[in-house]
Amino acid sequence: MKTNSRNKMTLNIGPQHPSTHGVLRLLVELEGEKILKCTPHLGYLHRGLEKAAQNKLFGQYLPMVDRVDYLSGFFCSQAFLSTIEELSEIEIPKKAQYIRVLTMELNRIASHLLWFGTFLMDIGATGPIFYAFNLRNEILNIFEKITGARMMYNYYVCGGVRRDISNNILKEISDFTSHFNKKFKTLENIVTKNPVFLDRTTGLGVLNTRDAFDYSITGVNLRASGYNLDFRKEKPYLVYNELEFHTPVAFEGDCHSRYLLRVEEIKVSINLVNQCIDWLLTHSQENYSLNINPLNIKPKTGTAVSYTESPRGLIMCRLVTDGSEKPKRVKWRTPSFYAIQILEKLLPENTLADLTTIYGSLDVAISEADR
Amino acid sequence: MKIESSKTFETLKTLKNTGYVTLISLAAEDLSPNLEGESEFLLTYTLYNPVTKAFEEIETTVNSEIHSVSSLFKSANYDECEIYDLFGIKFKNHPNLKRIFLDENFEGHPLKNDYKQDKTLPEREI
Repeated sequence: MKTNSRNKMTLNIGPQHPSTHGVLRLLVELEGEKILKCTPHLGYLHRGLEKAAQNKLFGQYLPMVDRVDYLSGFFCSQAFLSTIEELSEIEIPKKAQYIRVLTMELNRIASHLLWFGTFLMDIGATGPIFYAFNLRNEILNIFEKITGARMMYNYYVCGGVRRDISNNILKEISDFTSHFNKKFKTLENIVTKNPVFLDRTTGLGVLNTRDAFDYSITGVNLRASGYNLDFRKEKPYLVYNELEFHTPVAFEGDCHSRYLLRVEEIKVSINLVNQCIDWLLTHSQENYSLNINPLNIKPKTGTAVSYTESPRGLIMCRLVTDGSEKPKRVKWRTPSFYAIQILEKLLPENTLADLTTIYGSLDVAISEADR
Repeated sequence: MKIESSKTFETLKTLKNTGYVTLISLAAEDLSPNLEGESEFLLTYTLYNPVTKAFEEIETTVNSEIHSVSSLFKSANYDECEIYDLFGIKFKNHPNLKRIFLDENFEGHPLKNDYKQDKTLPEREI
């Protein structure tokens, strides 16, 4: 802590967890408790995932891809695999596409639930995290039964998925979704109209649409500012164009509308999961993988780009190949990288106590920003 | 669309004025075959127009220096720092060009083809 003049000081926050998903350091200039300027410092979780791709086979790099964002690993796998599949001109079986959508949407719910708990914990409500983690735990149990892992799944393979989902597991998922809304309602009742929560979030950290475009914000943060951009609809991948769903949009752009949208998105995802289960139950005999040897993946020379709507926004994977069995260049465009930058814009003129509220409402995962 | 590196700023400015207000991604790639000789990089700017919902890709090749576009798109600030950090491309007129992921004392730029991986890393002062 360094004092500049009588009322001004520079405060270092971090590099431990300011919110619970990663290691970030913020340098904040304060006047009293009012923030004048905020400078984020990245790199504490940098693992060189782009460099690591260059001397590994495609099959060897695949398990690392889950770690780009460990809270929503399925999305990163999908982003990476769809570039390989595009360059190799593979179309994966319909059943595999439905399984991928099913697992991704469950993953979106799990990710939003984790955000829900930690966001409220950040602003001082310690209760809801237990409810949220209980629900998330049920999803992780399902993932464990499907993939064998609770967080780093390595479940998608080139040409499909690693294992089939049995009808018993599908029944379990449908049990979960049918009870979910009731349980989630309890959680919402505690929070959504709570006067203290409303006081702390309404009208705070307003992000207008123009700034959102300028800072390349995507996902829920952009939709809360009034522009409907959902890459599941914009550039449909897998079977999203066969499923019925809407994308919720809000116009206020404040912390509360970002909260409401994520809550709404959980319900949309539950609906999508149900649609996938219905399809999968009637097509249990179909093929779920093309059985391609992971050590023999050799896409043609070229460049492929994939757009994936992750819980935090747009994940773009850019793959450049030279015809060999190793990728020449893998570039990850991750939404949190840009969401951190917007802190410079949103924090000034707010108080120090609101820093965690604004930061938490953006749903930043540092693992994804640092790569 | 492929353009010369000296015209990047002007082209992006024109595109921004016609509605491409979001720079969705800025990607770099090292084109030089190996080690010897001057490096050559490919930069890809992906732009998005929220009104017409159109995407536009601008490609350009760079040797070591190019005009920064962070005065046009705020998001380019971090993107350019990242590319400077990993590839060593310098961006003219950038407000604060520094390493964003790696340590300040780190030598070399890891994604350049001439980077040798057997280097020992400098010790961090705590």
